[in-house]
Amino acid sequence: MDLLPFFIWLEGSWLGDMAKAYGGVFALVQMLHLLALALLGGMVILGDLRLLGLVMADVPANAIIDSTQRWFNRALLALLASGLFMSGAVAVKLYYNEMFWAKMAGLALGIAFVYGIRRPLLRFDHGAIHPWALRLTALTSLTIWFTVAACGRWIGFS
Amino acid sequence: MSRRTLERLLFAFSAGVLGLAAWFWARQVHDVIELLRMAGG
Repeated sequence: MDLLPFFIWLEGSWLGDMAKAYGGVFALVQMLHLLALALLGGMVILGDLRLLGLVMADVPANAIIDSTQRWFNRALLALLASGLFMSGAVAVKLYYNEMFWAKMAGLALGIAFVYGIRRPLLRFDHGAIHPWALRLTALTSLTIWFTVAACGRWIGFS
Repeated sequence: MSRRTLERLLFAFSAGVLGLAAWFWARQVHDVIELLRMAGG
């Protein structure tokens, strides 16, 4: 499925026009994107390090996972919305950028992992979950989101 | 889905993702080494 027509349409749409025309608006949206990234990254790191028993070991893991998941959801929505806006400004350039596609693949895997496996699994009592399953959940999560973040930054250099 | 099914899904998914990540990062490291080699002459 060729997505180039979609990217051409996006750059020529009102969204793309707004992103290109108003530098101040773009900067503000990018700032929100980075703040949401910090929030998502913070929630991922806190939750996963707790699953590994490395931080806040005196606090029940279920409580930390529940709280961090809520803010993760909000941050992800903000990232998707702001990311779509910023993409509109340079959509065709992004289409030809390898790191953009690596980031999107990572993002898709991350979303599938969080909502398809991590969240449903961690709803169970953590004492009943195999200890290696908890460690693997944390390791996979950290790997995915670190790679997504790195690719995101890499876009600007490739 | 039961806990055991989710655990099995986790192991399969993680194996794939971690393998893919290892390949991706190994490729980036390889590319950097090649660039340094070319730059070094």
